[in-house]
Amino acid sequence: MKKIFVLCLLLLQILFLSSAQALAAPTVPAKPADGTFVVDEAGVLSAQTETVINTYTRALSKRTKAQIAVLTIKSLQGEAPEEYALTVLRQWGIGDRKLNNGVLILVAVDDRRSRIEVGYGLEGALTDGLAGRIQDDYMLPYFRQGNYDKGVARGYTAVLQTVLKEYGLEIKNLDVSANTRFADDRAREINMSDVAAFIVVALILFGFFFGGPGGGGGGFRRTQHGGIFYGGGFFGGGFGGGGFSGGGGFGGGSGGGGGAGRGW
Amino acid sequence: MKKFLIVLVAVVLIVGGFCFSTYNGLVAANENVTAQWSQVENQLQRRNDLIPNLVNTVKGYASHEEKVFADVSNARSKLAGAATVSETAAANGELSNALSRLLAISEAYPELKANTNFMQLQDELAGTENRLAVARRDYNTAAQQFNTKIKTFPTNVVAGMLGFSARDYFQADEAAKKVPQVKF
Repeated sequence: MKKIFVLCLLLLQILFLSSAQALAAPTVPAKPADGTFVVDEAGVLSAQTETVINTYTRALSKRTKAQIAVLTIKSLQGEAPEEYALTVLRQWGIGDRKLNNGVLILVAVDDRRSRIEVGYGLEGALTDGLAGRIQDDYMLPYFRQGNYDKGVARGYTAVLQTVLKEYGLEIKNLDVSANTRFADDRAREINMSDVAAFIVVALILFGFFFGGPGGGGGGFRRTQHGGIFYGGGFFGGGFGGGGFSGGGGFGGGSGGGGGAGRGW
Repeated sequence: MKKFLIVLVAVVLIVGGFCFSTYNGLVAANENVTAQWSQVENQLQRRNDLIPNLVNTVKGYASHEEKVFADVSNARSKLAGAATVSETAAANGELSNALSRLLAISEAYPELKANTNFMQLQDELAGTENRLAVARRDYNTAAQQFNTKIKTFPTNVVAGMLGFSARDYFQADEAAKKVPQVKF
């Protein structure tokens, strides 16, 4: 009698558990840690570019809740770039949960494909046509030369400016002074050794966390493109990973397939 | 007798509670399907609005390709007249095909291909097709969840009593599934 009862229970359980299976979605890299908005699986970005992207997206997110993330991969593994990018945007939850104002810049190096995926909330500001043009004008010319670092940096800047414009802001409105000092010309003129430079940056960051930005400093100069990146940073490397926590993680935004893709 | 009453009340409560929660779950799932469908309709409308612009731009460079223009306009009006999900899916496939042929024309007209307005429209159209594919997939996922619910035990008993019936899937024909490829 008891056995029959247990059997019935098991059967019921099976019936209840056989639920709908979601339609297959591509497997994408795991969501990075909070405060990190770049995943460079293809290994084509410089430490400086990663730091600048993280810094600016953090500042942007703080100010507007909008988030711009960058993902480089070697291969799409046969997936369509549109589906891949959307899966990343949704699984990472780029942008605010309610505002859905996230953007993903995806570069598949070996496939020679790129895509700017736009969340629902920014489709009006960053239209498909504009997303395509940003890739044509700022990214592909460098990608064709194999300079992914510069292409991503220029593309990111253009997307950032577009998103900021939607909120009536400019790059100079973002509160990033303390974090971007390392890219400042004056620091470069001094021409310190990497170790010394690292100590200075660490001190500045320390100051940033305990009592706000420290004194003077030259502020950062903008390049002729109104950019935020500098060529040939003086940090060899070894800095990108370190990072500072805080600035929050992804907000849970979603999208519906807006954006544009390119091949080169 | 008293014992029997208590058991009866308990059974009624359990069954009643189960019915209520199942009913609410079904209503929510059904509403979700409807919401996803309106996303599909949004995107269809969005594409519909893009077409005149695109056709006019292409006409400026390739006015004698009348067959393609006629196909686009036919498919467009067919889609506007579609009432059910399956009709919409069929008409949508036809329109997607006609539009990809319209875009393919540009290969023969270098000036058109280089036109920035055309390039932008091409991006908008490709983006809309892609949004449509996403909306369609989201709709199908929602419909699948709902349909599974009303077909599996024990929800099916309640669903049958309350008159819920399965929702149609948006099945695109294979040819129309492909998003127009934009290559430069």
